Amino acid sequence: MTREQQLAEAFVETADTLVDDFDVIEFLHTLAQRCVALLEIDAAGLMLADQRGALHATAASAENARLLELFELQTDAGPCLDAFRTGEPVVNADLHANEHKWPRFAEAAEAAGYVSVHALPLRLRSTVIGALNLFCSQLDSLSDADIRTGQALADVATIGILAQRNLHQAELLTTQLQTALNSRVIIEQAKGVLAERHRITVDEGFALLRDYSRSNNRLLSDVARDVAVRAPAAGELLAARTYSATSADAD
Amino acid sequence: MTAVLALLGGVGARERSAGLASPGAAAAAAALGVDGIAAGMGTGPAGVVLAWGQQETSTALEDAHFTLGQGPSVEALADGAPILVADLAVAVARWPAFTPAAQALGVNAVFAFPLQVGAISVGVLLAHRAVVGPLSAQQLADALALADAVTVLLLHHAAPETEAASTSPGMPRPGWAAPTTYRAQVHQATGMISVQLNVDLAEALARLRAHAYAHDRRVADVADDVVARRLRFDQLES
Repeated sequence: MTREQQLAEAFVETADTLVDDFDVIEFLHTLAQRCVALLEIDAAGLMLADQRGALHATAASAENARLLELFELQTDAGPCLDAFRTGEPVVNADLHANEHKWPRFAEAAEAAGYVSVHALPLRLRSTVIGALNLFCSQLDSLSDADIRTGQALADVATIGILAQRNLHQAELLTTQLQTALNSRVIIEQAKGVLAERHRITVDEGFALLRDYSRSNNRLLSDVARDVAVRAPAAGELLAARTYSATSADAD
Repeated sequence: MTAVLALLGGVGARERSAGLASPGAAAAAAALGVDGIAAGMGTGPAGVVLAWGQQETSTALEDAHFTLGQGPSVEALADGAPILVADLAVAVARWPAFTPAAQALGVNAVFAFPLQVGAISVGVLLAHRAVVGPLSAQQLADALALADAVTVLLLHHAAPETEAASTSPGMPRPGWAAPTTYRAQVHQATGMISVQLNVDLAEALARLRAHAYAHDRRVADVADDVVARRLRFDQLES
């Protein structure tokens, strides 16, 4: 299978995260294995942060104790912790050169036969929810293109996680959902205002909103809110005008 | 929580102003596993008036918000999204004045829910607990359902001429026209009515609901008529 095909499969699998008896751990496990195959590295794993900001190993390309221990050792210091805290990728880090920085982790990783590591942040906009850890038995094994691929896979993992976040993190998803749902309601309210104001259909009202937001480079939801409350900022949209090709009566 | 929502349906204006809504609020708090819960009305600079649930700590928390100008309720209103803080200890940087004030009241977890229907914002619901920890998925779902019901309650509270629609004996509970039955047409009709009557969205929705109740019809059905232009609110007999 080519890299493109493998990538495509990884992305398609993300759609599975939206169905009911989907298993997030299994998904992350598969993703970790895909990283290993795609990036031609030796091992990969994902760490997620709990509510107190502590990282926990969640899935790895090989569920063996030795590899999992390498994650445990990063609680106090390690590339995952750095990526998690800074939100920036840790790339092509030579274990030997970083022994002072991550003493316990570097020693154990080297003993396991690894030479370099990478940690890519799992980001949701400005929030980092964890990190994707990559282990290599060679130095400088990842090119820029590889890093981009790795980050794309990390992003895929984030989507999958947030689609199926467990009980304790349901809050994040709920908050996102509530905001999205309420934004939708505002748009419906705005459609009604425009439909009545201009004697057009609500669908035509939506088209007005969308066209206006595009040509004025504003967010649709912001424009909709201004229209719904009939704020001065929506003056142009609410001003009296006639429309062609509609069923509007001349008032 | 269904029992709590039924309790809400039986509360009239007189009971609310006398603070007798407390039984409903206490039951709601128990259902959510929190120590207290209250809804504040009003979102402007005049501050938030506690309109439902008169528990002492809730009142003190609302005062803190108003005095300090910060806190989960302020943020929930600004963001239009729930603010869920399972452990206030991590919120010191976020609310440098509110957090210690809340902790001094023995509060260590706060959950704020904006009371809104789209661009209609009537206030915020605030739950608090001394014990640290998140709401469970079920409690969170219940809290959102409660927020929806209280939103309807406060909606009519703010539009006195429609009060009858929410407080008459035998009147359907606030859940009767709950957001799960709010199809898109209801929100579109709200917008249309606000233009027809030249009123804000909150009053438009209250009028829509009151009309449905007065004519023993479902809100969604009346909304359909409005959107299809079979019914205009500026042509109704008063």
